[in-house]
Amino acid sequence: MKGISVLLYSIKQGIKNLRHNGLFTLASVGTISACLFLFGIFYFIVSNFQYMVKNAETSVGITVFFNENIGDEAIASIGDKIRARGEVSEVIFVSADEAWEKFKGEVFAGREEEIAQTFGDDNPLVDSASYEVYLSDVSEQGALSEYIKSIDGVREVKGSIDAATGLTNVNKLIGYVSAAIIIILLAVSIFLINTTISTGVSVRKEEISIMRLVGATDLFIKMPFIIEGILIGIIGAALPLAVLYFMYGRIVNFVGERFSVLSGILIFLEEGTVFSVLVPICVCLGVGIGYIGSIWTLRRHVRV
Amino acid sequence: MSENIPIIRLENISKSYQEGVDAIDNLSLEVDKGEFVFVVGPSGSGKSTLIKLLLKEIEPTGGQIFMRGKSIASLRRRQISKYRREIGVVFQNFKLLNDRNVFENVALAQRVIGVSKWNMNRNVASILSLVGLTEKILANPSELSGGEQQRVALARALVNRPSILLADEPTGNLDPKNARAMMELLDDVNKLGTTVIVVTHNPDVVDEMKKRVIVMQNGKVLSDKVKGGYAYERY
Ligand SMILES: Nc1ncnc2c1ncn2[C@@H]1O[C@H](COP(=O)(O)OP(=O)(O)OP(=O)(O)O)[C@@H](O)[C@H]1O
Ligand SMILES: [Mg+2]
Repeated sequence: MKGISVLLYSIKQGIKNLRHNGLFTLASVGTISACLFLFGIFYFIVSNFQYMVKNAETSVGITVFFNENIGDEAIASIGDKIRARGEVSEVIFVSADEAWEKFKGEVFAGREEEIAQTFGDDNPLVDSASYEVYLSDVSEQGALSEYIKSIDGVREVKGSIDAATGLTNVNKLIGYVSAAIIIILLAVSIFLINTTISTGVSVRKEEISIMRLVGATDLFIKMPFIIEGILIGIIGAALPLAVLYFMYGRIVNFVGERFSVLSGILIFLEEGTVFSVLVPICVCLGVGIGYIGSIWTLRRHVRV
Repeated sequence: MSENIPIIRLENISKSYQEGVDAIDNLSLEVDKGEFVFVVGPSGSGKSTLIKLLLKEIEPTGGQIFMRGKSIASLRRRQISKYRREIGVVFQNFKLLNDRNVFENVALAQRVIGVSKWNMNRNVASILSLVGLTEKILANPSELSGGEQQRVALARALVNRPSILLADEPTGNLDPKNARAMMELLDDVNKLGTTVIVVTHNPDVVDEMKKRVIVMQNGKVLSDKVKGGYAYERY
């Protein structure tokens, strides 16, 4: 009972403080919102990028060609060696015939008769049997290629190594830049909350000293300010989340239409998947910023 | 056993705000539970300082204060809050908040100790009717006369039913009739068991009420009489 009435009073006072310091409150909410909005945008990019890279990784692989006249047994033993590696997720054998069929299909589509006349039953790609090797982690591709090259009977290893590391590097860069911007904005938010709360404390100096003299505990005096900080954080998180939620579907559609050529690569995360992570993170960040900002201020200002 | 221990005991208390000037000078005194005590003395004799020391608003530069036999010197912050809840104070300058009405000013004392809303409303209403301010319940202190503000301050001091009431010049702004009414109120509170210590400059009430009178001068007790009068001017 006691706790509840104190809490209710503190919440009321906290809301009163918010309105009292309108301008500072607005500035604090604004900065936190900006911070978390940017965080949300970067999260969209990074999480979708990672998702796409993950998807691409399963299609980006290494192709392994063999020495001429190597024989089926040797090919099988090379296959075993590759499969034994931990980073390999799948190894598929493509025979010379299959390669030729695929090549014909891709390059001479619609001109099958012409081809049949020229080549007859000969397979011009007679030595092009290969393994297609898929990795569970694209960044291991370089090391794996080196290894496969060193196996006896391997003529050539083709990989999309540059594309793969390029993807990972861009992703990392986005991560670093966003982390830096977010840390700066976090610092600004905490600073602004500090200003907001200390203004509130100095406005209510008289009230605080009277409350002290009639027997208020530290917690009772600090609670409204802590709640004020947390409310600033919650509002500062709710606003950008609402905007981001409204935007996400639109961005996905827009990018999808604009770059329809890349529709095979541009596979976006579901709204629900993104927000089930983003909402708790943003709310925790908002509340955390508000709480830390106010506690830090009170520690320095409320001592009577 | 506990009946014999004075509720308040000051032992060689000194307080100097500046080096070499003692506002309170090696003062010792005892107040028993349920007593009514007047503290009188010329301006600057240390009366308000004494009140502040008792509330632990300021710390003595020497000596010890005991509350029911326990020193208050080493109380921690939380314990200081608890200690102050036993003491109601009417400050010389009222210390009312002008950004809220009379009700909220008095209710603040109840909120601080976590009284439920229902009980708080009842307690505040009944104490305001006791001091005769029911009609001013929604007024702002700045809209009240000095005497009315004094009564709001008294209501706030009493609403938590403290075991000790300290009143610093509670009749300073009152005409003789209202001053007498205020003192009767304090007397009633005292009869209900509260220990009352009143600082005053009002000779008439002091002489009339025949209570214990402590006369202070230069931070010292000049006289302490069980049924005293407002006598310090003669010294
Ligand atoms: N905060 C302070 N800083 C410095 N000196 C102070 C302070 N408060 C009081 N004093 C000095 O201490 C002495 C006692 O002051 P105090 O307020 O206790 O007097 P008082 O008896 O209450 O006087 P009055 O009847 O005018 O209210 C005075 O000389 C005063 O100038
Ligand atoms: Mg005084």
